[in-house]
Amino acid sequence: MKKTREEYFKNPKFEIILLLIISILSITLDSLISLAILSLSSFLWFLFSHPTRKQIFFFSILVISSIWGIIFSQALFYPSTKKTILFVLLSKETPILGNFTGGVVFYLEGLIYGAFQSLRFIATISAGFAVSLCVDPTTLIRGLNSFRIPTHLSFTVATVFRFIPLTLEEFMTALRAQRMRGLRVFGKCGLNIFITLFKLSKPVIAASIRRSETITFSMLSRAYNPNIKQTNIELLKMGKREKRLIISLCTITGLIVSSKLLLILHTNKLFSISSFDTFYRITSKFL
Amino acid sequence: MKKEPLSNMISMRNFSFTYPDTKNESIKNINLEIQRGETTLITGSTGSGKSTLLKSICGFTPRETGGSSEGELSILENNISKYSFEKISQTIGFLFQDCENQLICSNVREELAFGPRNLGLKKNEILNRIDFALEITKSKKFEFNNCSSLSGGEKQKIALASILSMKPEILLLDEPTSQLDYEGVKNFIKSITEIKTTYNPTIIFAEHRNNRIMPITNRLIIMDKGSIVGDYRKKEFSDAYDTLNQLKLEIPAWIEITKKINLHNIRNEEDFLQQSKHLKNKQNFSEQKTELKSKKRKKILSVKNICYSYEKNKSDIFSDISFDLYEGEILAIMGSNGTGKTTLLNLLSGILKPQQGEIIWFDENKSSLLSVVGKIGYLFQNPDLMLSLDTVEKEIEFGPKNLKFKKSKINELLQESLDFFKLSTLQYKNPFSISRGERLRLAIASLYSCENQVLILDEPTGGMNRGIRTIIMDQLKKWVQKKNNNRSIILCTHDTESTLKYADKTIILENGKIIMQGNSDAVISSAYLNKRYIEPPPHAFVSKSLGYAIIPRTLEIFIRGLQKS
Repeated sequence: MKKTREEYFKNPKFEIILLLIISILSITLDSLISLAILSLSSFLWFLFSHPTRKQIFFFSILVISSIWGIIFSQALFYPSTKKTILFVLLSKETPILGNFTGGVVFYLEGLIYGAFQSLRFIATISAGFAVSLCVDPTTLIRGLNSFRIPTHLSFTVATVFRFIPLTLEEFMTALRAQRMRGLRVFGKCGLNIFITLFKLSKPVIAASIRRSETITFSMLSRAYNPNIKQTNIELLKMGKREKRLIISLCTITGLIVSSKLLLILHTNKLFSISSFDTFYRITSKFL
Repeated sequence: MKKEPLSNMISMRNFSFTYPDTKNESIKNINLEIQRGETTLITGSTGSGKSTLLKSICGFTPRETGGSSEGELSILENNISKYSFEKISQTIGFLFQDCENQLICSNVREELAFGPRNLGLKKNEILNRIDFALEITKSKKFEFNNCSSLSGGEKQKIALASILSMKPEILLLDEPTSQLDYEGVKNFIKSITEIKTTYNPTIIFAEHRNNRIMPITNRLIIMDKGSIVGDYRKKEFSDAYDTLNQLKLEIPAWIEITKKINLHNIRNEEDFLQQSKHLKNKQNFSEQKTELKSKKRKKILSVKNICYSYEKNKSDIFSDISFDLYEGEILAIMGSNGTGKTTLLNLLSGILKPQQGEIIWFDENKSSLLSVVGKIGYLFQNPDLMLSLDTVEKEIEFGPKNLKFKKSKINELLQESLDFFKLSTLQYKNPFSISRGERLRLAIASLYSCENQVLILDEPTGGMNRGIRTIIMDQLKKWVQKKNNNRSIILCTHDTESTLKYADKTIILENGKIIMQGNSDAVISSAYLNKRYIEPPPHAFVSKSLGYAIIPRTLEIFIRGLQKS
């Protein structure tokens, strides 16, 4: 990717803070409407980050399979005492399995709870993907450093990001080489998948070890020492519009979190203001 | 170039080093003095100890690798063991063979600032050094690029620039040109010349591509089995012939011709060209192969007008590629880095599918990966990724077992492969414990045992020294000629010398199009004379300067021609 000077000096703080805000809100909010709005906004951010078709495909597979897993497992194993049966997958009376499992039932409350969790998941995962599309690893390091995260930690994170695509490519090459020599990955009733993964791990790990040796030598030959402070040479710039947007979003997030705290105190009868009844009602319904 | 008084930069006395868990010394009894401003080439075959010597000079061995050393090694008259890496990094810069993994940061500017920032230099000094390094390597235009977006040659430049930003007095360059195409090599040599002119550091190359590096060095050191077996100054280079020849290392064409046709008092290329002028137009290439009689042979591959791009609606990597392959042919595909040679091989092997056009193997219009298994073997650019089993034997048996060959047939193929590729002594060894050249032979043997009719080879001799290149290409040629000459090979390579010697036909790709195809000698001669981006074989410049239109297939043919004249 070729960058302009302006793009290079752009401060990734905006994206990092936005990700943080979305994460906080996805934990704080528990109304279906507000969570739906949050997830939709986050998803739109992902879409406007110019993902490729492949990335959209990968994202969709990840999200759909995760949502399916979350909703299905919550619907089956929802622990609350108040439960409405939607349908029965396996009756208690079924011989052997019914006795053994105590019946497998699909509960409405579990399904709703799963839907809530899924919306939270969509919000955070979309934001995470959007950040990875908008910010390259080095810029991310610089952004993280500006939050005073230790250099060696942020450097390790960025190095991992940098070499993940190479390792994946090596894995694919190793797999192709095996297939070209007649390996059927899905053979032996799917057992070959595990055997193949084990076999392929060897050349890929060997290549990673060789690479890590070069990286270590390269770092040593350029005086890297995690205990010594590096000189900061770049002043990252954040645009005025971005600054204003971040201030507004932080304020809104602060207000939402405060409202939720007040509601929790009121619900648990720890602190309550009688004139705030309407406020409590609105917070409870929409946030 | 600045003239400075000569002083000892590196001094080694009886220096030996042994890696952990090995009995033999990797380098032994090295006595060497390298003076300020010298440009030295250390050559030797794979495993001769060149890289270990460089790693010792910059203190990686034994400190980081483990193992034990004996003797003395001093840098600027101080014992290396007393230097911290921080201090060493300000004196010595190390460029690795694998430049891709040497780049740590994802952005060029960050990469160049990495070293100076670690030294805690002031901001302005760091910015000045970034500018200096970009300027000297002519890389200013990449300053804000992501490293992953650069080509192999560009990455090499940035890796070099990242070292130069530390302003080291000594540059150690470990096989710096092994992954570069001709254009990359030319640019790299230009950068080194510029560096020498600008601040004249001491430079040491460890490289077996002697033809590329010897013209810019003033000292040649030859290593074998961990020892120095030859040390020559610029004026004595032609005296290195016997040692180079004995170790099957690359010999510059002018030295080889000088020795073989008994020219006297020749100390460099200029002398040679001056004295060999009288040989002009007396050449007789009667041994040169001429027309390849493809028409009588059976066609096994037909590629018709294929177009391909990695993403739809983006410009094609290839457009309108067409060629045929016949039984018994070796077809070489050449072109600069990034021109799509590997992509073309992936299309031929069914890993990728063309968006337009047809690839017809054996008169069947099937080109998916599964449909070609057992008929076509594919050697990937990094053969190490193909080896995943515990022993050499299991690796060779893997393909035949998957293809459900009979037990007796598998045993027969195993023995044949071991013998053919000279791997019998390694049968029960772990593939990861054998040498690089042996691993490459094993990867090819594992394809051989599948009884493929065609082998597709992606740079099969890349990074290998002349001796190993010859062994591998000789075996491949024999493989083609076995079984009534009905086997074929398609290989992509930068190795023009091997292409001329072994390939029947050559295709040259440029910007996604075939710009030349035909008999190898005619294509390569034409490409060289038209200044296309392929590396000329070592004897090309001689034949060109003597006025010949066709480059002989091998230097031997050329010399025999000269002798006849």
